[in-house]
Amino acid sequence: MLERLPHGPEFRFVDELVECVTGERATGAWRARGDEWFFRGHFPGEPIVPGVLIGEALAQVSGLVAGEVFGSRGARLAQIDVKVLAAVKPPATIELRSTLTKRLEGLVLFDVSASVSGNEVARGRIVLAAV
Amino acid sequence: MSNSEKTRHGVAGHPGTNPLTWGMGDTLERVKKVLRTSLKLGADEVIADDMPLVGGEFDLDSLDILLIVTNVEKEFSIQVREGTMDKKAFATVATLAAFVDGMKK
Repeated sequence: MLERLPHGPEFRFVDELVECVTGERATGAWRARGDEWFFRGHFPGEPIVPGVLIGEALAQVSGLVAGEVFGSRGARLAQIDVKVLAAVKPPATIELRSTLTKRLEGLVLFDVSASVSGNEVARGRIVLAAV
Repeated sequence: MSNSEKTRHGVAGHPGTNPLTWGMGDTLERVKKVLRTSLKLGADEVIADDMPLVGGEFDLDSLDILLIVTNVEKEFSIQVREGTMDKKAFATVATLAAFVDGMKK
């Protein structure tokens, strides 16, 4: 199912899909190794997973939850409201959870959360819109 | 009318005298509470019953409406399914309250 993501390998932040019930929920995992390109700048000598990329990872999992909801034209990120609760240092496996909670007029709302070793590091809401 | 009854959103509503909102006082006030929370308005912000939601000063977009519908569902323990909501429900605060009242029955 990961092949459904339109993102190239440099910008794909879901390495594994543990569970996916299309139209309902999914759990995925992103393994941040520490040698990825963005750690060269974020931050030199002290790598921290960028919070915005955790948000992006959650959006990607949400896109997989949506499945065919948006049809062949796909979806785009319309709104992201995610609190980053803790810094994540690589190497780390970030568990990504997304639950579809509402569909309305071409918009789909997801409740999302991310955790590392059972500790929540981010949570919030994401809205995807039909393209 | 005193100045305290005037707000940037219009004139404070009077559910007891407005034929559009007879019998909807509680629903109307709870809908206004949802709007205050969803739109991050102050707790003492007075919202008129006939305040336009789409167009007008607020001019809610589809993302705002999605958020408000979600919060209305929680407030009233109802579920609004896709395709069951007439866009006219978001014409004003009063029409939204009427829609909610219809869903509760």
